[in-house]
Amino acid sequence: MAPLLSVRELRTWFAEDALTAKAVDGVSFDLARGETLGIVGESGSGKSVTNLSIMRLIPQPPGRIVSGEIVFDGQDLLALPAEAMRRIRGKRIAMIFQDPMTSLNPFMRVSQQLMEVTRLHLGLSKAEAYEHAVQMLETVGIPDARNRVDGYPHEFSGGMRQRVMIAMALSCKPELLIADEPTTALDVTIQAQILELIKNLKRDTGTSVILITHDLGVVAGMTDRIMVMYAGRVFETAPTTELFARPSNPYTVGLLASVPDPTDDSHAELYQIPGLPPDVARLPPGCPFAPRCARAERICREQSPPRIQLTPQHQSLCHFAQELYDAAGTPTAATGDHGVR
Amino acid sequence: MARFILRRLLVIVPMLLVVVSLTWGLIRVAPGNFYSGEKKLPAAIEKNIREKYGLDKPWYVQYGRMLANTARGDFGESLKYPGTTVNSILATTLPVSATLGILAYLLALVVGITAGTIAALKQNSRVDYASMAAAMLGISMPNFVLGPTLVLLFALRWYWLPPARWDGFSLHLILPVLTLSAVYMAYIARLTRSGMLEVLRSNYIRTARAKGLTERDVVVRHAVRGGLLPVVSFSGPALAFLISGTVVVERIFALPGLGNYFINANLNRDEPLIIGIVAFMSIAVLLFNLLVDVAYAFFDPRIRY
Amino acid sequence: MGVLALALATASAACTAGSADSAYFGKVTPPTGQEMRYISGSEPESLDPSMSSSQPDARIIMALFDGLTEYDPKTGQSVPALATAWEPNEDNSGFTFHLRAATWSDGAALTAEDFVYSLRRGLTPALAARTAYMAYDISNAQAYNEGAVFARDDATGRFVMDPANPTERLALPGDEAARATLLATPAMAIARNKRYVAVRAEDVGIDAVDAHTLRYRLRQPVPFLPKMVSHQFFRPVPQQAIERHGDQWTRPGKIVVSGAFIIDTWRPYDVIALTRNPLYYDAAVVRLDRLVFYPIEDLTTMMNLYKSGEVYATFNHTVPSSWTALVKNYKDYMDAPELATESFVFNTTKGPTTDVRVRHAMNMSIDKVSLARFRRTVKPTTSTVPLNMFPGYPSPMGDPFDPVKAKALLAAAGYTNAAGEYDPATFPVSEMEITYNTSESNRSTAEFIQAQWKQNLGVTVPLRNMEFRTFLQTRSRLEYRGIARSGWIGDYMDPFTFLSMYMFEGGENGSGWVDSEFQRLLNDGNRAQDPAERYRLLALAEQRLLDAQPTLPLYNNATNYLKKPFVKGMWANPVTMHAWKFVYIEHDPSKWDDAN
Repeated sequence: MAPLLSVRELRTWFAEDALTAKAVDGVSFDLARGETLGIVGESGSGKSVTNLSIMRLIPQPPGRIVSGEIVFDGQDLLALPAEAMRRIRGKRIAMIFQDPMTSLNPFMRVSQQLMEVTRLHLGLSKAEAYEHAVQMLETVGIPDARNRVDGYPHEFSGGMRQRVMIAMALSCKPELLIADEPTTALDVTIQAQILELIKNLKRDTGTSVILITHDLGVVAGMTDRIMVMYAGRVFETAPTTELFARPSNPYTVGLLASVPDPTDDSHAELYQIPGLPPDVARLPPGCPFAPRCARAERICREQSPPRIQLTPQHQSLCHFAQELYDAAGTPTAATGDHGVR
Repeated sequence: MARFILRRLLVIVPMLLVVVSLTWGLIRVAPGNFYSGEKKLPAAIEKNIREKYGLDKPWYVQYGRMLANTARGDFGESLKYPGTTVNSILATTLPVSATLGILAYLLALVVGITAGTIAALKQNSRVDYASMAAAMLGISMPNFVLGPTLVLLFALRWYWLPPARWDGFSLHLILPVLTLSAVYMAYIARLTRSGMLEVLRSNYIRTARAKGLTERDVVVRHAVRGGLLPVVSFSGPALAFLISGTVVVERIFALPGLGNYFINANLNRDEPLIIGIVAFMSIAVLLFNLLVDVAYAFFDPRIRY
Repeated sequence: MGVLALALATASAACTAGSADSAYFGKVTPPTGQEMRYISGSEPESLDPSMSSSQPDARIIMALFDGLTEYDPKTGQSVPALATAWEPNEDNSGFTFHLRAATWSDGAALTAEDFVYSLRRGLTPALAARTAYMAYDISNAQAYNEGAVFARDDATGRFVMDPANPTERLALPGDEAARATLLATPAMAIARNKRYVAVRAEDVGIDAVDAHTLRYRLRQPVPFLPKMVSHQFFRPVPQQAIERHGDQWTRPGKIVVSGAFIIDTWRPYDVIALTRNPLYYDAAVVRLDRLVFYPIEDLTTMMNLYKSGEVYATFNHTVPSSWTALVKNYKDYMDAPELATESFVFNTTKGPTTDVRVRHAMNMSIDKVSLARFRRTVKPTTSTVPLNMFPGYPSPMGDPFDPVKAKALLAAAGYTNAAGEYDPATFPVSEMEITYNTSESNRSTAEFIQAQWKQNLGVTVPLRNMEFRTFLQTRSRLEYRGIARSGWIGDYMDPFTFLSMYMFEGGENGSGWVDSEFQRLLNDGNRAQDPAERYRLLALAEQRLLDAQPTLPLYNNATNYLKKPFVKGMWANPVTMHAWKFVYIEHDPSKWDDAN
């Protein structure tokens, strides 16, 4: 079956005084129907910009989608006129954001904000939209929804607000839901609830989900496939279990190593990847991760790394991808220091 | 909310007391009095005058009488215009100043909010720069320069509009309202622009766009309420001041408004009239500020008094 | 920026371009009917003739109320109005006026009784009329107005007469304490131990001999009484309206008038509109149907309204000085000699100006001819009474411009160096100031004086300005140092009005100078029956004043205002008081340049 979404060589750049910040520089991936894709990376990796580009919500100026294709259900979104794109937004592709405290309009009742979407995209009458809003709130698990639907956002707690956001996003039964760090701003216990909710809704409606996060723990339980981004590029893409089992990119390896192991009693120092993410306006030649990479050699600083297709499902952007893949496959790699200096 | 309003209304009383007492004291201290003219008055006539107006009583008696009048809302007769009560003067001049002020402010709101919103939406474009430059001009050009310039062009060069005077709702209103509203238009445009810019950058606007709303709906239904909050705060004192009389414009255009009377009352040392106008202006300022605070609560549901 | 430059260019072009009729300033389109529009000045305090005290009020009152005499529209002298004829007694201490048959606007007859009522009311202490002092020459007027008492001998029933003025009763203060203090003085011995009777309204020296004959009894000779009674204080008020409406009697709908017009609309600070009074005795002569007054104070606004044709004339001194050079050349600029002298007074009680030589020196070192050229619309003078205003009056000339002699005088006064020559460094400038009430015009004159003294005497006297009422107080209390501004507009067309203020201390005499010979000359002059002899004595008095130099005369004002060429019957007279009954609108442009 054709993928629901197919992103090809997307480049989104930002003008920053005299420089150009290449926030997304040649990103490609597919998303099948009903699939959950996790996009992982540090801040500045370009994960949010990628998804805002899909929605065509990049502010132009200073941003600019320079080239690429975003084929959604057979249509290139980048070639659509603005009006057509607007009709897709909120209806067929929906997005929820990181900070529920500020993502809802504080001056508008929740009912109004929910009704807006359905009245606009589904043509519901006021009464129908109101009922629909109440139902959506119930679906996302807001207690006493009928009485609370007319409240203002500040009358809801953080977790409740995120549920409202989810309700809003799913009101029109979109085919694709993009969740940009939906739990980052929430307490751990609430996090789990929200993720559980997304999982259940996805199962009930068959929506495809792109889940963006910097937290590997989150993706582990939720996603079918994971895409690792760094400095505006896709460094590795693989099915979830395979990525965890056989990381084939030094960056991925480093990320995995950074996750603290609660069962580790050794009281050793927590590992972190040395250095900081690069300034995408001033990238050095060669591999953008080279300055921080344990595995880097001269070639890394001179030539851009190639994309190595390790399996039909697994690719990695590294000069040594094959080597790492093979190494990770051998049993000895399952222990010890993960091949990191 | 009701208790909040009540508390604020009660505050008016001590505020008024302070303001009126200070004013009264200042009038006493200022040299000169209302009956001196170019020709010196014979002592006996001065005595007659002082007796007639109760100026020969001790100061605390006069102070007490002034307070009693203020409390009753009856400020007595003007000293300079015998036979005319202060309240009748307020009644005739207030409609003029109020019409002028309200029309000027409405014009300022319409033009200012529109210009500020367009500037914010097209940030850093030529439209943005042009309108902000015009706003700067509006703020820095004093109305005693703008007014006469408008008069020079429209009344004296082209004879399209009358140069001065008041004639109810007629062409006579155009130049004074324009002159008066210019600076407010400019302030409101700038406030709107910065308020809107801030709001347009916020996350909930991103959400609104992500929901697929038209740009028009995003701006009008979502951005405006938050973006205009600075304008709401600004409006309170601005309106109070506007309605209490804007002396320069009234002088330039010879309008029979409160501001004109106020200046003359001061120059004439016309105590009842000064006290009456000051009392009225203080109440107006306090009431308008209260109105704005209440309006703010309607705009922003997060605020609860 | 380009837009701004364009705007400025347009604006300056607008300044210099005239309208189609470039002989006149602004639009020259007469109204269709007979409607006159005039800017009268500040909002009238009161249109009650007895109460009002300022010129703006007077101009409007003239349209509403007639007096015994009226200001001649061309000369400002007096012409008959409600009185057809009058004659004085043998020494000008009494006048009899013969009244014409006239009615009020409500039809009631206007008789001598109305004059008696009006004067008694105007002098009532409770009314606190500010111009009541105009009537103080009338017997017992001042006494009544001050709430004074007479002293009567119970035995004989006769009143004690004033030793200073034996034909008049002695008036003592109504206040007991003040009276006791006065009675303690030796001169008042004759008044002790009498019954003290309050002065009544009936004691005031005005009588209605019959319905059409009115008599005034005066405290002293006042030969110019017929000119004085043109002043609004002497114009009769309608008793019937006052008794009915009290304070509100001047409002439209309530007011009753004796003059050519009656109030139709009065909106404060906006407009006062008058319409014809059909019952006016001279209604046949009146041509205007509507007379509209606009109370506006801002000069530029007035000029704008005039230029755009919204008003047809302004009152006096309304052309801003910066405009004069431009506007003077138009035909509608009104330029005539005025009954006014601009001068300063010296403080003769303190500082270097106590010395008469210093005063003469300072007077002589100001070039008044070049001051007049600088001011543009005035004529220089070295005298106090306006020159060329009173035919037959032999004006004395004061000091000419002579800086050399000035320095010699200062040397004589002791301001010398070791060699005995005049030395500016010895002159105590710190004890002098040029004091004036704040205005653009006053400041430029003061600066001129300062520059003259610096140039001709080498001393720099500082300027000091203050707000008007504060200034009046400072001047009358002699609290200023050096010189203070003291311009004077005459109350009536007679030289005496410019000299009388120096007869006594206090009030308008802000110099502190009094002189008994000066007083004698003036009193003798007023008693003289022969006008030529009278003028001679007044001129001698003025000479004495100029010799003593408590004043520093500068120039005589000229009128400067604008009047549309289609407004006729309105001349630029020395008092700028226009009898509105003569004014009319001329619709035929060929007659606009006729001399009137």
